[in-house]
Amino acid sequence: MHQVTNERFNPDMLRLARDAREATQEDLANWSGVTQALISKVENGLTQPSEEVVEKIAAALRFPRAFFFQQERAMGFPPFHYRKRTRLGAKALARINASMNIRRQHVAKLMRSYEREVLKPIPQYDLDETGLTPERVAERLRAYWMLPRGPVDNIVDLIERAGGIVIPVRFGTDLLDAISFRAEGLPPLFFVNKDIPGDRYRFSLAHELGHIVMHNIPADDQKMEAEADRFAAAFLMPAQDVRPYLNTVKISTLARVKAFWKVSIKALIKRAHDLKLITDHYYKVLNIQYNKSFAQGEPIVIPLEQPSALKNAVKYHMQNLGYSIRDLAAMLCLTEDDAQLVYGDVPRLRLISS
Amino acid sequence: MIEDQNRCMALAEPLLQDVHDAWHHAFGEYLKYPAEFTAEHDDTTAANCIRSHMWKEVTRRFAGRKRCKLIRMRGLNLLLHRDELVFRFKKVDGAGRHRNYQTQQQEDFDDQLPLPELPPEAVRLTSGYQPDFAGQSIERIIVARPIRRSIAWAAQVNVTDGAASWVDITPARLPGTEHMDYRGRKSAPGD
Repeated sequence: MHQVTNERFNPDMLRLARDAREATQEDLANWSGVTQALISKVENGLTQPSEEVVEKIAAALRFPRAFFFQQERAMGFPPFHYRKRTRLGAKALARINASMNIRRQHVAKLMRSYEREVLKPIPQYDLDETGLTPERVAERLRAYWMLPRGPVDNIVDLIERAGGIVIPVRFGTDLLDAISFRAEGLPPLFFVNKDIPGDRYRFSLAHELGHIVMHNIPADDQKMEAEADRFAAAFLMPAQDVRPYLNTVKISTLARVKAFWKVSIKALIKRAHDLKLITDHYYKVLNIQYNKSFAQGEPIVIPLEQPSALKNAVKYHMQNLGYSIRDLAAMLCLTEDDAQLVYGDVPRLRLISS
Repeated sequence: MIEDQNRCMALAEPLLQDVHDAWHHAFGEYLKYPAEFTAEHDDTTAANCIRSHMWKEVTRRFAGRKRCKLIRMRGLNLLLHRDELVFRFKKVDGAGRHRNYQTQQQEDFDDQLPLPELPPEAVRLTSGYQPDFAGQSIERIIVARPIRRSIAWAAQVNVTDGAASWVDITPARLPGTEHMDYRGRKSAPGD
């Protein structure tokens, strides 16, 4: 049932598994009792490991044997966030990349038997071709999706209704908030750091939505990032709708505005400045006040919006297609424990004894 | 005349815990408002809503209580205690100062000038709350003796284990200027 198409050990999968566990080759050698020299040769495709070695590696990395025989190719990072990525350590970067690849494979497998009806998929606008600004694109997208005026109630739901899949993951760093990409045969994927505050989570997703909508062809990183930020601000806080709420821009009033618009106080201050509702000088003053007041984080907790697309796909497999947790774990090439951990509300089969 | 802080706070002692708790109740009520409404409030509107809840709570707690009298006088909602102290309820800053536009009646109140229904000897105090920077919680409850837009003294009210206590938080002033409105205004008549 799972995706083992032939019995050739895939070195890419070994690297992914090792990166997912943040293990160096030396770590793996210590954990598995296989020499680092052999691990290195296997990873570089110079030799095929024996069955015994595969078993040892699989046990050490806590992946089922089948994981290493999947004929998948690991993907690199999408062409965004180059600057942010350069600040990340190699290990963290490798783990995020591994997690992204593994989850992408899960989506591909889960979506084979599960179809979703998407009435208004995420469109694409080429800024150079259309001459549109990011603000205009945001406006058009809101109109296309027929969003009511005012705050976006649930951006995760919007993205998923438009065919995207949002996957909250633990990046283990606050240097990177989200990553998104389109891959052949797959819906647009949005990986978002689930350890960030809810308002930042929403803004990051809107930012990624901007990339998916506007940046089909990579351009200058700084320019793409600025455009995605402008899109996110205009999408979440349309000028005409948010302006009345920014008449009095004070930290004390912005906290209340935040609760309604579900964007950070920082984003509201920036929006007020971008819309020229406050002077450059007052913008600086507010930022000083902000840094002084919210060093430990902003008040008003915006709850993290929970995606449902992937959960529904899992539920469909278990309820409609009769998959057991073991079948599911086998299909996704996970251990049963990991399947439980990753797809948290997957019901566990229990032995009932009389 | 600057009323002695110790004497006033001793007189106020039986009311402090209720007033403290009433402020927290009032603030809590405001936090229950749906975000779509509070987002449209400026600080003054928020303060008015909280003050309105405060007055309701003060009424619940003090109406009919011995030696307490609730007085409503053209926008001034007051709690008179034993004909010796009278509280009005305001949002204040960290020094216990209130900041609204002042009517003649409010100035007269602060200046201890005669007002109908108020015994002239009752010391006029502000019972206030200082919100945090983001207006999302109460930083502290303060009792202050106002002098127009400034104060003669201020005390922070604390409640621990069901008992109210207070500490002096009057900002330090230069020797000899204790009786002055240190914001540069003239001291109130009679001071």
